Amino acid sequence: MATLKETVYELLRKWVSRIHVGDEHSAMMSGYLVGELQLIAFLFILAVLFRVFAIPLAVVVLLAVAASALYFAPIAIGFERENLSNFNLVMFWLVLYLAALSTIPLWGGG
Amino acid sequence: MSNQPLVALIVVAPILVAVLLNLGYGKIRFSKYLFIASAFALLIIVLLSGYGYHWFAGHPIFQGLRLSLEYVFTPYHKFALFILSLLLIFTAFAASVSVVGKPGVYYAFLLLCYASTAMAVLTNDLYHLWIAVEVASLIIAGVVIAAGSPGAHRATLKYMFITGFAGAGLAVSLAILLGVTGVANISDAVYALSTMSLEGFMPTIYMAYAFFVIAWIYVAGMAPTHPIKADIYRYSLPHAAALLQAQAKLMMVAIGLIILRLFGSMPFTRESMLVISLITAIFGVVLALMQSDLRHVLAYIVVSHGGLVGIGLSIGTAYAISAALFQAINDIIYMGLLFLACEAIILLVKRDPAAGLGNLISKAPSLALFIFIGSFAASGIPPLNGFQSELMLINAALSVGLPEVAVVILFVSVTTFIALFKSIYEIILRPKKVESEVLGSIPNSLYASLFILSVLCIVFGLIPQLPLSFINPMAAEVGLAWPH
Repeated sequence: MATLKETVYELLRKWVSRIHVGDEHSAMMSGYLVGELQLIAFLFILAVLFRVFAIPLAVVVLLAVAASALYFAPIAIGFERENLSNFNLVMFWLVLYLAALSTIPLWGGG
Repeated sequence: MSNQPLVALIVVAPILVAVLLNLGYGKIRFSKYLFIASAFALLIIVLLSGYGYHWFAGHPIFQGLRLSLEYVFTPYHKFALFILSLLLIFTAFAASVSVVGKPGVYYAFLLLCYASTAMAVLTNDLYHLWIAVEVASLIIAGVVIAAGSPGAHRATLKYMFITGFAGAGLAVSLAILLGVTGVANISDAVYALSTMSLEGFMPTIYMAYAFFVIAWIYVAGMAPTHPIKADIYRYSLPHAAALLQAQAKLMMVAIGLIILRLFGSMPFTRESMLVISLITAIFGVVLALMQSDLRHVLAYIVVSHGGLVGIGLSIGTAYAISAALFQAINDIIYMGLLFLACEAIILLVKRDPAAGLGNLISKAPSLALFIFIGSFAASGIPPLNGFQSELMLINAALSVGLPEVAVVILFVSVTTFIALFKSIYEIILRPKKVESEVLGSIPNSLYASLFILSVLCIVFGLIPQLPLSFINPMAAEVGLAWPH
């Protein structure tokens, strides 16, 4: 009978193994594992930060992040794909950032 | 404060020397010695310049308004440009060894990189700022293309396209501010925005803010431009990357401080900048984890630590700004050290510092020591400089009631350590059955550069009051209360 710790670890290891072919104990593998954990933890922290605007909003975002993390995991490889230096991809995100930057402060304070 | 003529030379002198280098580009010895001598001369000019203003047109103030292009030179400016000048000297020595052929034009580009950075740091004028950003973009293109690889050409082309968006956006922002306030001087614009009625102007001013922040994102390589900025660092020659990362840090601080002065007291502006900085800090360091070549790891860590600087600037209190400025200076020092160490590895084994190299510690133990110092400093390990500034950033976040931000800073610090040592183990420590052949040597000038940067990492870590005495007055002047 596996302990809970082993089960979660095994689950994570299998997720990463699915998208990274090669030695399971390589430096690259450890990089992806740490990256996966970092990203999940960061998304939760970012969701909690929404309490600055409104606590109920933070709770809703937190739940949405939890559901998304379960659905999209492993997120490290998708994250890497979304962060390619593809020009169209960067421009797409840049335009979205511009829209958010000009509307969110206006909505909150204008 | 009086008119300071030497301050203008910090920008004008490198431009003049760049013209001379272009004229004599075929004369290798002339180019080399002129470049190194001018780098030393710039350091002396920075040290000799008095605090105050420089007014280009000679009209300081007319009917309460500043008409001319204006440079401001304070203790922070002296300190930041001193560090930049030091890095230019180290870059000049490294470039004189590494670059073969007729390097005059390349040296000219490196000097113009310094000039554009100094221009952005010193200026108190919106037009001058825009010109500095545009010139810096073109210079980056020249410096990276000089590396000659297909990757360098691709990275440059993408970067130039982004310039078309961010640079033009900054111009739109300046036009809006000029239209609303009627002045181009930043101090005058700050005064106008704080005293005039903005009724009906808010949507327009928020659009100006958004374009300004996009320019900030672009110069710093923050999310979402971080993959392209990281390409710029990893495809340029390592000594050039050392100078380019210093340029990015100082320009992001300059633009960040201007955003704080112009828009910092408006609702939700600093909060949105904070979110972008947090995303950059984490995305950069996670992408660093996924690299194997040390240069690629460093490229993403530079981007990530730009996010740390952004966090301090976004919080915007006097203490947080001090922390951000200190972090920026420390970043310049330890990342400069690590990029120059990459240059040393390439000179030694004629290969990229990537996995498969192995056991470098037995061939160059002192080089390994410098790399360890730089890596420990970047990871925020006491008693080195990175520890002091990251601790200040954590305290700044906690003092305004943002423990989540403090946790993210800790994440970045720990993950930087993992990313760096994952790569360093492969290159320096991992035992190899077949040893890599030593094909070249590391010049003494490069060893001296690494030594001085290592000493700075230790001194600023042990005596943080020394750099902070230059930084704190500027932070106190710009600092605001956290709105929540």
